[in-house]
Amino acid sequence: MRPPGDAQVQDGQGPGTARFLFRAFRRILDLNTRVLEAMARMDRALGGEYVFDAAFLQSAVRDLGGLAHRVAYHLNGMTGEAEVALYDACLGVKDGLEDVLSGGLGSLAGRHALAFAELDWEAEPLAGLPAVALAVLGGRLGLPAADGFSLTVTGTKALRQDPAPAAEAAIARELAALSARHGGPAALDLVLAEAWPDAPGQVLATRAVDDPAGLVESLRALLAEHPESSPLAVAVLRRPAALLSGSLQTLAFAPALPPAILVHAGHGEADRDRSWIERTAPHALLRSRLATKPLDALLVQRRPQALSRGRLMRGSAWLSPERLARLADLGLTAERALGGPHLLHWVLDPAGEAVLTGVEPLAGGLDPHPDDAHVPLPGPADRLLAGGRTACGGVGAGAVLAIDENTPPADVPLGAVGVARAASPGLSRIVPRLAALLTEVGSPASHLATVARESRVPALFGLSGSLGLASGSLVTVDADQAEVYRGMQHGLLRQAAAAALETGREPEVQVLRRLLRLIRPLNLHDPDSPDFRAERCRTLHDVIHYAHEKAVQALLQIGSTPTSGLGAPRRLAEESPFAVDILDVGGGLATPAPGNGETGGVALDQVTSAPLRAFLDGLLLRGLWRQAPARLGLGDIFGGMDRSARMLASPPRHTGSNLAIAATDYLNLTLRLGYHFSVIDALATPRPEHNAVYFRFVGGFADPERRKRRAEMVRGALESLGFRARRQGDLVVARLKLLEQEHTLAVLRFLGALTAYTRQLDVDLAADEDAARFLDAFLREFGPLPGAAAGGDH
Amino acid sequence: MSDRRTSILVLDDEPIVCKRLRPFFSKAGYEVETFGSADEALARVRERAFDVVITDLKMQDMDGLAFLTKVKEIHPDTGVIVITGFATLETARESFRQGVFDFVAKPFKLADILDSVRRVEKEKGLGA
Repeated sequence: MRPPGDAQVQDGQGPGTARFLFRAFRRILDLNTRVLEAMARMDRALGGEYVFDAAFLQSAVRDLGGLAHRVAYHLNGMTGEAEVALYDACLGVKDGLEDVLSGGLGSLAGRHALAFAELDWEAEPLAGLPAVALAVLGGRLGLPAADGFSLTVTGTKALRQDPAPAAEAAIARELAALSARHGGPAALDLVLAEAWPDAPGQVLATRAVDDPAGLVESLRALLAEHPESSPLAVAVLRRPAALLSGSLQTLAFAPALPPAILVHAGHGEADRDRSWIERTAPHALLRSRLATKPLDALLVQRRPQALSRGRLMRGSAWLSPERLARLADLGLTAERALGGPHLLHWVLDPAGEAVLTGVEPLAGGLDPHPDDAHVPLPGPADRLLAGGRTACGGVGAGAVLAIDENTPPADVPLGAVGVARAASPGLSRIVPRLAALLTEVGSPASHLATVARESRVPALFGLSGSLGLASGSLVTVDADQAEVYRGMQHGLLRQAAAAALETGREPEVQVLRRLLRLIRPLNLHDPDSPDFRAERCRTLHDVIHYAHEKAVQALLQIGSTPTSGLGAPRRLAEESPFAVDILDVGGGLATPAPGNGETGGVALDQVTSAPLRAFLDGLLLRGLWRQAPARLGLGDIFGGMDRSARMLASPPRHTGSNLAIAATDYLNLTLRLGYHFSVIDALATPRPEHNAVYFRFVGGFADPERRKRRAEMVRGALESLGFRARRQGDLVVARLKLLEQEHTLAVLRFLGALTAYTRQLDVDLAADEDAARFLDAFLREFGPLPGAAAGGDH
Repeated sequence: MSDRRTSILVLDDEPIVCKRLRPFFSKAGYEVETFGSADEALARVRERAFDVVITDLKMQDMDGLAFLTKVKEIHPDTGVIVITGFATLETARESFRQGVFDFVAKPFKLADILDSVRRVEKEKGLGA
């Protein structure tokens, strides 16, 4: 970017000025929204809502690539070209997308063998469905799945020659790495599958390799049995120790049964039990056909086999209904991730836990049974809630569970219906475990909506009353019609299961699915993680999420940057605990500033920036001003002297005035009250997905203990508002996102009052109890907290 | 109003469009035939009249505008709906000059194309 001209700096418009940063930030927000909307449109096309053609895919890719590039451009403008790596990330994704459009195999096309850790959906045409599906289910989704590597389409082609040094070396390398990951060699299983596009994932053969030293020979023998009529890939799996094995068909139709899950379990074809299980929790056993077992057979439960005492005189099943229900949960979670019904293979490990060992597309013969047409649909009397916006279509049912971003994913039972206050990105890891998701606040264009669509979890956002659903009660969510019904609505669920069978296999749909895998997954979740870097952006969603977070960080620095070029601030002409200067960057003040360089006063009613006005309304609540003089001890004086010396030695930015940079719906406030420094950055628009309040607070005059107490008190107050806050010494960093506009303003009003109240409070905090006492007194005076019922937020 | 089913011919060289529209209109109670080639579609139009013709405008090696012009020459009463991803003002204007009833931009929702067909039916007094 070219350096700012003098004229631009003087009028406050050029790069580096507050107005410039704010304008660039708004452009990034707008571009992000357009990207998310375009992604949502592609998602909905994949879901069957739109009829599209190849031209649509080409134009969508072109448009998205252009938008992402502009996002990178504006972020680099905001950061003085500090994010050049984001251009490379954009180009990498764009190249991948164009490769998909042209029918290529992607950036890994030259590799003979790929470890599961390197595989994601975009590698499916190269590595085949079985390997990629197990890699994604076991890796990104954290489901129990066999580890291994793929001999890719490139690898199988090379291995048909003998010798094939490069392919053999790659196999040896991956085999050694696989052994190292698990503490030594083990027997292997090979799964030969056709790779996309001819017959996606069709398994042609499997083979056991008891001695891994003979892997290359086994692979050659397997390939020799299958001429290269179409691209083939082999999943090489480390064979888990198994008590029992079987398969699980996630959708099966049988006479007089609702759509079910069909589980085969046994030690071989001869002794396999067949069980049909309900697709909805708690996955009741609908029907079973048990194999005859020898009387001395050991069941998985380690009980000896015994004849039942019932009149039917049936033997015991290999798996108890509880284990079958757990398998069903696992199968449906995999089905959502795979985008439709599939055939899964599993084993029970020595601990009795299921491990996935194979994934295949379902063969034909899955026509719904005619009975399905006669199951009644729910009526108005069954309806609990209606409204909200569809973030991901479909129907899901399960037990209600309140969640927030602090909920550990492992605590969420597979197949629950999650209810949350806000569609926070922090819920991303929980979503794949859910049967459906409801939030009170959120938008179908939000990050979490794309996560829901990626995981195919039916989701309604912005549905009032979601948090009021009784915890543990069974509900059915019809996200297509934006309704929630009591109980398990089997008619709706059957309709949805039948629709799942129509999952498109057309080439355009396959291409769209592959494109979306490079577009919508969000891999960078935590801005505080060392991995949160431009180089780690693997999808367009990563790019825009990264840019948004970095743009917010750049805005937070506004008040700390040199003031040249900021224009002329105007001082608030009201009785206030401290002076506040206001710089209008667009609609922040009712009247335009006087001539260049003038700093005429501004009355409260001239403040048209909604977030600044809310903050000032709180700040000017005189009843909350503490009038008593501060009691200073000797330690405070010495502590203060040390800090004042350091502050004097620091750059001038730390000793400026209290500056509010304000626009109609935006506030960036830097406060330098005595010896503490705080920043509030807030956006309050009609779109909750854009709204956020960031708060940073550091310093004080008193000794370190007292400053820490005040910081702890501030942190406690913020957490009571639903902020995600952390404290280090006397530094508090907190953020609250995804709020309705009114809620955002109420929070700012609270922060205004809190700022006035805590000014110089640190010197009064002689003991830990003082912090709690002052906080109680403040909360009592202030009254009800905004959004007090709200859960934690991002 | 007659009791007979409204007949629809769909022409698009993108198989996915025909594959989606055929079952959709059948389920909605229409008589549907789909074609991926303008020559075959035109041969069929010469054999019989359709109440509604849905055609893409820009196809590989095919001129949708020429096709719909022929259709209107043979059966002036047929309601023609144009679907295309290359919607420009000029092509839209030319389509309407040729007697096109409606213009639907790709990608489109199934409900949108159904709505368009129903308006043709209403205009021509078709359907049950």
